[in-house]
Formats: sequence, C-alpha cells, structure tokens
Amino acid sequence: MTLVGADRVEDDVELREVSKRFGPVLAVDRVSLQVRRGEFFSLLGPSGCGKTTTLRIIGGLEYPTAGEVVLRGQVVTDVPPYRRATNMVFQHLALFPHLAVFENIAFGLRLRGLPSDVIARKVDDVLQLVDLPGFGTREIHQLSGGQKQRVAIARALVNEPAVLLLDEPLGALDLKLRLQMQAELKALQHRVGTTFLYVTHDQGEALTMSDRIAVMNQGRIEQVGTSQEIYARPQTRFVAAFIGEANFLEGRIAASAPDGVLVSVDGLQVRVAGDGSLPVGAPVTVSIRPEHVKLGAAAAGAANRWDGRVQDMTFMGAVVRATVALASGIAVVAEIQNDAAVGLAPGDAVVAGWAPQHTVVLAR
Amino acid sequence: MARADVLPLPQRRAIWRVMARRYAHLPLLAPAVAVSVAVFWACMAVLVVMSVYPFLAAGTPRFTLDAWQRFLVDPFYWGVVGTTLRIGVVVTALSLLIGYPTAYAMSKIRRPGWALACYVVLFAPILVSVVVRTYGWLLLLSQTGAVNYVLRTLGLIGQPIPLIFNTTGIIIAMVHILLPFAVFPILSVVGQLTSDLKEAAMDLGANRWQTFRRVTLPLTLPGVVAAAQIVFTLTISAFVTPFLMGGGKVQILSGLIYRDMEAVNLAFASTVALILLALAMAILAASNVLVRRSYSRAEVLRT
Repeated sequence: MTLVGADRVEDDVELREVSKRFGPVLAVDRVSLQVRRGEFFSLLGPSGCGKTTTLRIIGGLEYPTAGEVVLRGQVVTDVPPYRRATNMVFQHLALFPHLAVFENIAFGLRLRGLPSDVIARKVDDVLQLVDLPGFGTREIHQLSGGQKQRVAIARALVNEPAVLLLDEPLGALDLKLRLQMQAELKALQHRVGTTFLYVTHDQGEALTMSDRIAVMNQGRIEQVGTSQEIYARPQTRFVAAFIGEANFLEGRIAASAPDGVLVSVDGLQVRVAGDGSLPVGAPVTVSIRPEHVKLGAAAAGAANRWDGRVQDMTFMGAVVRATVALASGIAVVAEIQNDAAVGLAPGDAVVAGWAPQHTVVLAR
Repeated sequence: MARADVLPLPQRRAIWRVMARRYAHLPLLAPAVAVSVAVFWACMAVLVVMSVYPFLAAGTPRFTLDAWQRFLVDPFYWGVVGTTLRIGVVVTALSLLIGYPTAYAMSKIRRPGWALACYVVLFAPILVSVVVRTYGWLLLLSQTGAVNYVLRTLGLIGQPIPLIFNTTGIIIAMVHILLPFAVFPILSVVGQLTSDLKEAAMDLGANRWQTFRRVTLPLTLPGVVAAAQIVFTLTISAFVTPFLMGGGKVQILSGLIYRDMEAVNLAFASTVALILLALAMAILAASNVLVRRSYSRAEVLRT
C-alpha cells in the first residue's frame, strides 16, 4: 500500500482515465471521477452511454482497456471481483434460485469462513435493516418484486463493502413501487453510511436520490455535480437537454455586459448573467428552462423581454405549456401555473420574458 | 351429471367448452400410449408369465419358480449382476466427467459455424452403426492396434496391455458410444444458465471453483441427473458392444439373455430380462428420490 494524501483517503472510489473498448466500440472513453466516502453518487445517462460498463469495471466484472481503478487508496485494476471490497446489486438481481433467502444473504459470509453463529446474527440484522424480518426461510420464488429487491440489497450490504454498486436495480418495478423503493434506498444509505454508486437512466431518480451525479454520454462524463448544479448550471447542451427540458437558442456572443454577456440571437439581444469567459463572436447556445419563461404581467421585471404571440397551449394538470412565437420567428416554450394561464388563448398577443440569471450559455 | 342437466343450456355449453379445452391435449398422447401399452407393457406381462410357465409354448403349462430360484441362489449370477452394475457405474461416471466440460464449452461457443461444427463432430458417430464402431475400437485397442503401438513407441509400456476382451475395452467403447447421450441433456440445462448468477457469485467472493461448486453445478444438476440416468440404463441393457468387446470373457445380464434365448431356455431368459428391468427401475427411482430435494428449487428457476 502506498502513502496517499489526506484528501485522497476521503475517496472510496477513484477512476483514472479509464477506457473500455469492445471490438470497434469505445464503451468508456477516458473516464475519471472520484466518489467520496459515504456519498450517494449516481452515473446518469441514456442507454449505451457506458454507465453500466463503468460500474462493472469498478466491481471487477470488466477489465478496463486502459486506466486505473482505485478503491480506498489502493489500485485494484488487476484484482479479481472476488477479492474486491465492492458488492453489486444487479439489474436483474441475480438471486440464487436454488437457495433460500437466508443462504442467498449468507453466501458471501460463508465464503469468508465466518462461524455460523456470526453469520446467523449478521443475516438477521441485515434482514431487519431491509425490513424483511423472519424472511430467512422463504424461497426466492415466493417473494414479490419489492421483496426480491430488498434481498438483493441485503445480500450485497451484509458483506460491508467499501462501495455498494447498484446497476439500475429499480428498473423492473412498476412506478409506484419504484418511487417507494427510491425513498427507502435513500433512507437505507443514510442509516448504514455506505458509499452508494448508483447507475440509472432515469433523471428523476438520479435527481431525487443523489448527493452528486455524473452525467455520461457516449462513453464520456459530460458533467459532475450536485442535483442543483446539474439542473441549474448545465455545462453542455447534452446535459441541459437530458436533465429536464430546455429552450435552445443558437447565437453568438455580441458583447460583454456589466454583469454577464450579451448574446445576439437572430437579432434579439439576450442578457446572460455570469462571467463571460467566451470571446466576442464565439458561437454559443443559450438555454432557458420552460418554467423560467414568464408570460404577461409576470414577465414585467425581466431583463430579457419581448412581444410575442401564443401559438399553442397544452394543459398538463398543475401547469400549462404555452409555445410563444417571438418577433423574428423564434419560438420559446413556457411552463406556467394553470391559474396564470387563465384568459390566455392561442393567437393572443403576450409579453414573454426571463431573467438573465436563469439563462445559461453553452459553448458550441 | 344430474346437476349439469338442470343448468341452462348456455352454461352447459360453457362447461363443455372448458372441458374440451382442458383435455384437448389428450389425443396427442394417444399414439405414444398405444405403442407403450401394446409393445412394452404387454410384452412385460408375457415375460412375467413365461418366466413361471416354462413350457407354455409347448402347450403344457405348469407353474414353477425354478428359473427365479436358480438365478437368485447361484452366486455366479450375482457376480454377473455385479459386473453389469460396475460397468454401468464406471461408464456413467466417465461419460459425465467427459460430457460435462464438453457441454459447458459448447454452450460458450457464440459463432454459429463453430457451434455447428461441434455438434457434427460430437453427434455424427450416432449415424454410424454400433457394430461398425465397436469393430473400429477392436482394431484400435487390440494387442497390435494403434493405442498399444503408440504407448509402446513412447516407452510408456513394455508389453502391450490387454484392452479388449475385458471390461476395460467394454468401458472405453461404451463411453465413446454413449457420450452424446450425456452431453445433450447437460447442454440443454447449461445453456439456460445466465452469466449474471455466476457474476453475482464472484462479486460475493467466490473464485471460479467455488462459483462452479455452489452455483453452476447445483443449477445444472437436473441435466446431470438426466444424463446419468440415460447413460446408465443404456449401458446396463447394451448388448452388441459388450458382446463384441468382451469377446465372451465378460458375463453381463444382456449376454445371459442372449445365451438362454439361443438355448431356447425361455423361462430363464425372461427372468434375467425382468431382473435387468427391475434393476434399471430401482436405480432410476432411487436417483430420482435422492436428487429431488436438491433440485426441486432449481426447477422453479425455469418456470
């Protein structure tokens, strides 16, 4: 073991420039990240973005083509999965059908040669923890979907891994159960304090559960940050489009304003707050979330404000989505509370506006 | 019946439809049942009768247990039973030891061309007559055959070792002939095993051997048992290969049947046939009982 700096010890998992190639496909492309001790960290991205492969590399089930995997300060790239301090909850759970719940959970403990009274105590404790007391003698096929889920988590957690790897474990559950399990999983992680590394393609799941999120696309990490950072300050167009929804306006940096920059979009001068690190003339995309676009009186104070005409309105329950055509033909989507939409109809003239601090500039 | 008659007509029709659907598969069973009843069970009944009425064919039936008594009290015949069972056990064990890795490897082949090549290599010998294959083995294994030649050339043996006209020869030829029957049932089960169970075992700390021992083997046990039962029953009832490879020097039950048929000793031949059948059934039943507990859970996996 090598001596490492104090800040390094705080990381349970570190990937250094990890790549994985499957034939002609580069599934993971120079991914580097650090997961802190006790953190709920999510890898979020569309299917095929390399998030599951990244997780499997950490667990030792895939061998990286290049790069290093570090677990608690030790390089484990060449360590086989059965000697790594990681445990995985598989997408399809992979519970052993020939073993009862108790033996499924005790599987790892038996391999470590623990005495049977210790095993019995640990299994009972973890069954208590996942809220399945007395389920030890049940067969796997007797369990419901949610119960199988908990057994799979218990089977991994009972080994007290340095990091628990979860590969879309809630994907097979129906929506209601999924929401319930999300809350339970988050509460469980809080109780046990184990580092969770969670793979999902569901942005809602990642936003509600994670301390930090890494958004992946085409084998690369696009952005790492907290839920709020990822949502409010996306750094790439992919992140802005994948997390929530956004209006994208193509333009160029026109000038630097006192507290930000001016972007010219088809003749409109859009004010954007923040430090303008991009040079004048650089092609950019401006991103505005629909819920930040205000209509009528609500837009009165906004620095970006233009006359427009309602093209289309869709009632969605609590909110109404209105598409507004601004002068020069630019269309923006506004998401407004349904009481603010009263009296508005397609064809009406309306003022649309948004604040510079809700406007994000993305380099193109 | 009476209650169905008081039901209104539409409901009675509905009941008929349900019944028709429930038993719609029965006609499919009919040919197999007919053949089995007519050929197998009827013949078995005839065998039982013939074993206790030796002169039935001559038209002077007289009940006697002579044939059964002769078999059961003579240690020579118990020795024949022992030899038969020993060959069956050894051939079954060797077929599983060779067949399991073969099936496992074949299930891993992803390229259709290679998989097909494997199937052809493994199963093509079935197309060749057992007699022809057995004579092939006689040539290979004889004192001057290829196997002894290679072993002597390599200096591994000084004198040629006797590989034919003994149980060794029978076992070698039987394993070769029955290997496909061991591979196929195992292959069908191993192929269904998903890799994530093995990955889960490794993730939980099992090395390759422990993964095999604790996950792969228990989950493929049904296929192994099926293979063992098929190979064992085919071995103890085989005649041509043991007859030719044994060269008259190894006595097994099927050889006794042949000998007594030739001698028109129908009562004794029937008795031996029934004892062979009883042995096969007893061993099948015992193996079923023994493994049922261990693989009843594995069965659930595939439903």
